[in-house]
Amino acid sequence: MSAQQPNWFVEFAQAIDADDAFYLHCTACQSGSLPPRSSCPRCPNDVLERRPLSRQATVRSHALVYVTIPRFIDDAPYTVVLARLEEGVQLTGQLRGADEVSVGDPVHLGVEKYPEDAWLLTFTPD
Amino acid sequence: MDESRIAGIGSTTYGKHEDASTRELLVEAASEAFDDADVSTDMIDAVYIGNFMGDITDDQGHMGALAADYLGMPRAASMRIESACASSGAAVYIARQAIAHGHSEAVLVAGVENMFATGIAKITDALANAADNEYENAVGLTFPAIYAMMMREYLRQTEATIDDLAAITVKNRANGVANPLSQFQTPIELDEVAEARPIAEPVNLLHACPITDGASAAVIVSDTFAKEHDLDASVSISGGGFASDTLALQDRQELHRTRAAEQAAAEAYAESGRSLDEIDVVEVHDCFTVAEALALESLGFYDRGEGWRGAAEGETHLDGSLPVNTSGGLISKGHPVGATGVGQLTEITKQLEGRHPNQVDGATVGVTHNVGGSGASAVVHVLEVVA
Ligand SMILES: [Zn+2]
Repeated sequence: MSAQQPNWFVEFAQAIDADDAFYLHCTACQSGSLPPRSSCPRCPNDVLERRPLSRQATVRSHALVYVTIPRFIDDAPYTVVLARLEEGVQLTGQLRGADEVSVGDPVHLGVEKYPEDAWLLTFTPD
Repeated sequence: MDESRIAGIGSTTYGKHEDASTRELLVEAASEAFDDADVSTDMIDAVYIGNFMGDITDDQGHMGALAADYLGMPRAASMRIESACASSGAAVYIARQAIAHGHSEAVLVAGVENMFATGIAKITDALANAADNEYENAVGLTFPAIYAMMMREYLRQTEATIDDLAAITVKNRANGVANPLSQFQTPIELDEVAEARPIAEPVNLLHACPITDGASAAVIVSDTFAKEHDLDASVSISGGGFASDTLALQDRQELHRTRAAEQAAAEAYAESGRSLDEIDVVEVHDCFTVAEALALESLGFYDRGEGWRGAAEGETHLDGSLPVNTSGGLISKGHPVGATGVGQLTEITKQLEGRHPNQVDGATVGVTHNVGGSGASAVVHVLEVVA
C-alpha cells in the first residue's frame, strides 16, 4: 500500500484512538461488520446501525512476518494477529507489548500512527 | 450452445527470464499456441489476457490491446482480465462464455507475468494488492502471512502436522523434475522443507511457491469452428465455475476453508455432468502447501480437514489413484501470477492428449483449480476428451 488512507478508515482508526470504537450491526440478521459497508455481507439487509465496539478480543490466528513490503522492512520480523472482538467482528493488527502470542489469548484493540502518518491497528495482550 | 475446444496450447518455460519483458513472454507463448492450433491470427475474433501486475512490473497496462497488436490481430476485441492470481483462469472462463453465447468462434486466451526484474520488496508489495489494502496491507500483512494464518488454523483444526503439509512440496518438486517448463527440476527431501528460511511463520520458503516469469496461451474455438476448419481439437472444456468470497480473511468465520472454490467446483461439475470418480488428473492452485490441502477439500476429493492426506499418504502422487499437480504445481513449476490459470489448462490438455511428461495412463477427464488472493475468487474448469 502506498496511497493515502481513505477518510472512512481514518475515521474508524480515530474513533478507536478516542476510545469511541464502533462496528456496524445488521438489524435483520444481527451479524456484525466493519466500515465502510453500506449493506450487510451476510443477508440482503441494507440497514446497518453503528454500535460501540468493546475492543476486547481473542486471538484466532497469527503470523510472524520476515519478508515484507517496503514500509515495514525495518520492523521485520513482526507479528500480525487476527482476533475476534467480543461483538463477533474480526480485525487484524500488529502485536504490541509482547514478543509472542497464542491462539485463544485475550488481547485488546488499539491504534497508533505508524509508520509516519498512517494509522496502524494493533493488538496488545491483556 | 457451442462447446469450447482447445485447438492449441503454448507456453514459455517458467522461471527467471533474464532481460525479458511482458510483451516478449506473451508473444512467445501465443505464437507457439497458434502453431500448435494450426489457426491463423486473422481467424481470431477475441483476445483475453490474464495479467495481474504489468502496470507495476513493466509500467504497462492495456495488455489486451498490446497482445492483439503484437500478434497481428488488430481487429479482434481485446481486453486484459484481472482477478489477482486467478486472472487467466478468469480469462478462460470469459472466453468460454463468449463461445457459448455465439459471440466468438476463435479466441486467444493467454496469461503473463514478469516478476523477477522488479525486486522482492516491490513484488511483495504488488502481490499484496490482491488483499484488502486498508484492513490487511496497512497492518503489514503480506500474502504469505495471510496463508500463514490459514495454515496455523488448519494445523490446529485438523490432524495434519507441518510435515504432512511439507509432503505436498516433496510431491510437487518430484513432479517438476520431468517437466521441462518447470522452474525447479530438482527433487527435495522432507527435512530440507522443514529447515527452509522462514517468510511468515509457519510458512517458510519451501511451503511457498517461488516468484516466476512466464507466459502461457491457448487458442480456444467453438465445436463448429473446429469442424469447419478440420482442426485437431480433441479436448473440450465441458464445465466451468467461478465464485467469490470475502476479500479479507478477517471477514471469514472459518479461516481454513475456501468457499469460493467449493461453489466454483459444484458449478463446473454440474455443467460438465462429470462426477468425482470420473476425474483422472487435477491441477490445483498450490501457492502454499496448505492451499493444496484446502483445494482438494473444496473440490470434493476429501472431506473437510482431510485434504493433507493426499500427499502424505500417496494418493495424489503420480502413481496414486488421483495424481495432483503432475506439472509440479505452483510450488515447483512456478507461479507467474497472471499466467497460472492458462498454464494449468495447458498442462491438463497435454494429459488428455497423451503428451504430458508425467503422463497419467488413459486420462480422459481433468480439472483445473485457480484461486485469486486468499480465496476471494476461484475458477474451476472440467476438461475432457471428446475425440
Ligand atoms: Zn444481515
